[in-house]
Amino acid sequence: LGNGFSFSRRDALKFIGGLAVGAIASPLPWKLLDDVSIWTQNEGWAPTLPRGPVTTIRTHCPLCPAGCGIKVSMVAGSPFAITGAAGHPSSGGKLCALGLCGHHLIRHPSRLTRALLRERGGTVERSLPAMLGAKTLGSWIRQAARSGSVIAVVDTRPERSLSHLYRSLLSGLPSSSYVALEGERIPVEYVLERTDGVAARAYADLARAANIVSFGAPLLEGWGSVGALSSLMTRRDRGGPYLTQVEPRPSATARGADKWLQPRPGTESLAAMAIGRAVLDGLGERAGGAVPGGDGAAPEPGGLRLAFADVDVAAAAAACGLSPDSISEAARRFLAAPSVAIPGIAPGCGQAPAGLEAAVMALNAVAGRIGAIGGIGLAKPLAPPPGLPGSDVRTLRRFDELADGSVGLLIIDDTGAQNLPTAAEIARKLDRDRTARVVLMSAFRDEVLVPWDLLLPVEGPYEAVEEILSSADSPGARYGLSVPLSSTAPTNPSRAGALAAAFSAADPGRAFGAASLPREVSGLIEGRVGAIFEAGEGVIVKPGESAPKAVREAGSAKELLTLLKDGAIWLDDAAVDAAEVRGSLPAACAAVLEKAAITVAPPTPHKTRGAPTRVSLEPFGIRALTACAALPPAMSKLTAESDLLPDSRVAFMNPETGRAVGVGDNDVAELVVDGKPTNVIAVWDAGVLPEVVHVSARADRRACTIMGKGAAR
Amino acid sequence: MSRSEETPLRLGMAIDVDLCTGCGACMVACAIENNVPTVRGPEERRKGLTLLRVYRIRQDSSASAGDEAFFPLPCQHCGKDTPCVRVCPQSAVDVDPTTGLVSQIPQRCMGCRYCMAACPYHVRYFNWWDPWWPEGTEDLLNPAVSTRTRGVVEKCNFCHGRLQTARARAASQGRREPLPSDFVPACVEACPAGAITHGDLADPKSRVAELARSPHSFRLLESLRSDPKIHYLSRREWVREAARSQPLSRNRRAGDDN
Repeated sequence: LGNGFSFSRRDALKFIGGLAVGAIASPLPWKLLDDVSIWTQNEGWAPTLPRGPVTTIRTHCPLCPAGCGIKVSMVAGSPFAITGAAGHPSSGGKLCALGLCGHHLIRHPSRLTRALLRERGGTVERSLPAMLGAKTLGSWIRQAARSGSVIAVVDTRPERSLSHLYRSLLSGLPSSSYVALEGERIPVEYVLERTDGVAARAYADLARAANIVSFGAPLLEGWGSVGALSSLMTRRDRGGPYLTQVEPRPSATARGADKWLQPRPGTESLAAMAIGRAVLDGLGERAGGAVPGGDGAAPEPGGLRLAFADVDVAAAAAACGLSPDSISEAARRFLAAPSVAIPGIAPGCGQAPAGLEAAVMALNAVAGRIGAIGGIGLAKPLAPPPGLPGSDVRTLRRFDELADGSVGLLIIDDTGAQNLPTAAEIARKLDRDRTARVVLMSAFRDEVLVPWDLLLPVEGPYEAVEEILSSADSPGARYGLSVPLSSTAPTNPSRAGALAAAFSAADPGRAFGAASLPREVSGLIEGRVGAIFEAGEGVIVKPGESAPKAVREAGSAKELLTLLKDGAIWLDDAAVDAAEVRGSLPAACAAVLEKAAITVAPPTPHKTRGAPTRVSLEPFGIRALTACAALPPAMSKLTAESDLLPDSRVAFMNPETGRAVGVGDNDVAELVVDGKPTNVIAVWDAGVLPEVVHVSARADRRACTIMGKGAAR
Repeated sequence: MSRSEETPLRLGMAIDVDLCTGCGACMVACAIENNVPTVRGPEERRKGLTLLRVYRIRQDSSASAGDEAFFPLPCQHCGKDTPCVRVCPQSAVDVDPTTGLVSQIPQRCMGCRYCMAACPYHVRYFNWWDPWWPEGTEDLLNPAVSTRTRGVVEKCNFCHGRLQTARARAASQGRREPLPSDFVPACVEACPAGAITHGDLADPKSRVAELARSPHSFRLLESLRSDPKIHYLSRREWVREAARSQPLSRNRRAGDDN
């Protein structure tokens, strides 16, 4: 500093100022800000990812009857991804949206771990251990049996070993009913007499059909298996098959079909009968009032000709709001190529009306499509598990076959949640003069559609070995298994265990014979696999392996069970000759058809501006939304974060509901959900169950009120 | 192998709109694969994260009539003057020269959202909240993909985790880069209708390149000349016209008025 260089206070201030300006101009403070935000955000808020070796297992998706083959990626004992198993004979490596995130159900927030009991007529709930809940159910069974009222078990996934156990448990009770509800079914029993679970199982041979007439079945939205959808889309891209959709609702299938016939709501069965009559006319005397069989012989006289005799195509078309030409065109196509007609309704709508089912099956029968290639196939069904005593319980295939006001105790297994009856239907069947009660066996809390008195917690999807059986479009019998995915033992009892415990508690004197029955289905499943091995029919297909192999090549029943638990599936395409099961039109079908014809009547005038009426709100639009009682959180991508749900301004309802609440077709109605009113356009759709309104705005089922506001357009 | 391993890939997709049924499997598969968090309730529904969103367009504005089509809309991976790359002050967005994919690096992103404003397709999403999954389901996350934090933008990256796995597999086999057939994005794998085809657009013999050359093929907002690598196909003239005329995201989303 002695050689002339001086550093004054001013220089120091300049230096500091320069430093400050330079620092601001440099990336340093911004980088610091950025890093601080990243450091703070990573602390604790970001979840820790699971670590460990990644393994894969092959099994089946248990969430719907389609039973798609899946490949599950596991880490640290937990599943983290599900993909379709390539080469699977039914699903072909494809999966639906729900199946892709089905593994999240094992940790679902609404999982039940304790039973919930409601006092009669009240809303106060009492929580109790699961087995205590089973004992409560036992006391109710005893009460109902003593009072002589009907005890009914509703099975939403029939033909399982568990289903046969239900029937055996019920067979000891004096007045009991077993209700087998299949959401997607081919109700061939309407036109063939000897098919009741023994002679043949019917399926829609979509893979070989060149012309498909769907009466409301959501084919392009996932009716049947995903593999069938995939195959259908691929074939349509190449020019076939021709799809005609007969549906009042502007569904995605209706919009995407080659031909959309839009009948007036409630007249779908009449449209089927009109097409059937036109087919009959086209066939001339060749069809002659019988069920044409595969051999072309004219067998027994009777029913079908009489059923169609009174149908006038022009009058019926007018009543349906369709042109006679469109009916004739549909009939012409039906005769010109291998065709099949299938009944169905929108996802989550329960079962199709009986009149529609009967009319569609009669159409197939009159055109000779029963037992024909590309029509309604008849396959040999899977035998019940050996070792169970035969059951004489009354078996019903529709919930509405239960007599109104007759049921004292209703036990519902919600495995196939898309088939659940609604609150209104249940209320109609209950014998309220006595102490009628509803018990729901579920893994999840679901309370609106089923007004339960006791909610019994049971094992959920991917928590127990479950059977994969034939679906409505699988050609022939099949048998596979779905295995648990979580390494931790389920906290809830199995469905069989819970019900067996209840029946044991109800039967201290062993009068019902329940004590001698197995308390779990694992032994029944082993027995069923053993029977398949002993019979030696059919083949085993393991996805990813080259060729199917004969059952005997498994070596032993035990090895076969291991193969099935490892993702293989047993297939048997043994067909049943239609001639073997041919019969005249059952009287019940004739009655149903007669009733269906009556619905031709023009819509009755409805009252306007009715009072607010309580109905159930049901999500719809995406089949996957209804397949399970609870939705995995990732499904919010569809329900809340996309444009996929149908227009939320439209509410679909049965014409009967519309008339009751004073809302006409295309009227504006006020829908109140959780106290929040929304104006919607009401569209009548006979496919919706009475006292239910379908709105796509919400993903969860809940109660709401609806009131007509007047004409909209 | 129909092309040299040294030639850069130009990965792209061809989406057949006529095959798409709007089932949403692609969206769910994407969310599961990429650990995309779910919305907690109605208050978050409009700000949800969907790296792939399916839009619905209708021929007729009426809800009860007319044809409709579904458009799965991932990042379009623009190949020329990529708008999001040009505006990012953090260099958090880049075009991978070996694959042609527009990559997003969340660790670099400072959340200015310039890229969201610049993107003409509205396919970038901002993490408004910390990622959240219901209690217990965090154990079910994909261990191969890290979760992102609050305050960053994310988007479709053609399942980068799967690409990295394919790269590791290729390296173990002595190859520098994977073949396009070595990996499949989750949406392509999940689509039950087979509507999405993935592959190398630079290989003229590839299926995706063949589809891209189809007379029914078109790209969204082609007038911007940003060379998107997602090609759509439809035989329906009204669909092609609708896609040309307006951004899909201007269409009303279900639930927006609830």
